Amino acid sequence: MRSETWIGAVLALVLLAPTVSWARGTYLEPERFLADVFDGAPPPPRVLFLRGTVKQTVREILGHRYPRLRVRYWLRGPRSAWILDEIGKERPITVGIGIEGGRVERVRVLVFRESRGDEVRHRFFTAQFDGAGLDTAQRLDRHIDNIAGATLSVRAVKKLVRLALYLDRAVRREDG
Amino acid sequence: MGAALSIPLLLLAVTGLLLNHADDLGLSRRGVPWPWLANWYGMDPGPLRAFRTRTHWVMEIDGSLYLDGRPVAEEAGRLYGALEEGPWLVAAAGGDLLLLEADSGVLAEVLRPGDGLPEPAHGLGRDRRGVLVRGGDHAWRPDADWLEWQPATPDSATWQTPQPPPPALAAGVRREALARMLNWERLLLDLHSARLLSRAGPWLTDLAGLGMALLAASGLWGWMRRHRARRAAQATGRTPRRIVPRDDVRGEDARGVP
Repeated sequence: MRSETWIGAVLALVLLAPTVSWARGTYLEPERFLADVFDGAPPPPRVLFLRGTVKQTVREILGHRYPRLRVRYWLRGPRSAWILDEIGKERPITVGIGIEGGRVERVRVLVFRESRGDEVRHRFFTAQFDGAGLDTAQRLDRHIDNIAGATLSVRAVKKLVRLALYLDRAVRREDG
Repeated sequence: MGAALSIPLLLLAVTGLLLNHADDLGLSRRGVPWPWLANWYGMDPGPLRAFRTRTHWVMEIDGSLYLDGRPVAEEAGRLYGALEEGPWLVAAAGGDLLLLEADSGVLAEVLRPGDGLPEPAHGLGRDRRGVLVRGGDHAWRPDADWLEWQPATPDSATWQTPQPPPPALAAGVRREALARMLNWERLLLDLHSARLLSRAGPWLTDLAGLGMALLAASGLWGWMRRHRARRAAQATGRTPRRIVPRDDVRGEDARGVP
């Protein structure tokens, strides 16, 4: 191939690459996530109404009111599963969080709706949360590395993991 | 030249500062509250769909839901039906079900296929036994808490259909939708690039940019001349001559010296 053709091809690739958006999509169906957490047999769903101190603490964790009155969850024994939304830059990111014994068992990005910042869906990022818990100030008990260019997505996922850990504690307190 | 560039410079600086912090300020999520401006942009929210429940009007325009004229959900999708059942007002939109408190209109939950719904919801209705949700090929019946579902065989079902809303309510929703279509980030970007001034705008911004570059270059040139003169004077031990601008018309400098 002539050198001009090679140069043209490389230039086209470099110039066009930013216009291609790979980020948006459903990466894991909610039913599949629940089946994975509960070994193929998820329990019936329950709801937790966000009232009183729970509502206040949720607001502190997220930095804003959670835009729902109730949150659906699935619980069996020491395991619980939560499917929660938080806005990254402009659109909500849907994240599934599995909790076992008060610690993160898995984090999966189910649906990503932004045009960029979807690096958070990869295992190199979500694996950082494995085994994480909350400290007394409702913060994660470990540092989570940021991803350059995906700061808002990282922030959203961290908030949702904290929220799921807190809500897991809250429902177990309610159940006694 | 500085005076001529002052207004475009100020505009560039202010809009640039704001755009630099657009994420923190949430500018892309804040609508510009001037429907006339969205109209001027040529934005059109499209047709409005409305359903009457027992005590409310539920409307949808451009995928956003409104309860009695008040926005309750953005990007919900096409509205397929709405009804009240017990303490809940339920709206089927975009394949999801939105559960709101009937009294307050506060959104309680969004039920989506896979985590709340057995399949996408495309209609709401009732039969002799209660509420029905229409899916793709099946109908479903929810429990009282809208947590679990049973497949249903509709018995003399009546499915919800859109109705014409009160004109004043519809006009208010349309105005609100127009205002939301234009966000502050979009407006600031168009001000920053002067695209609001039509096709000539970006060229004016280019001129302002070139003007700034010229100002900077002339300032740098003047500084370099003075710097060289000072260094030359230091090398020879003489006091550096003040570089005074010439009045070229009279052929004299500012002190009147030819």
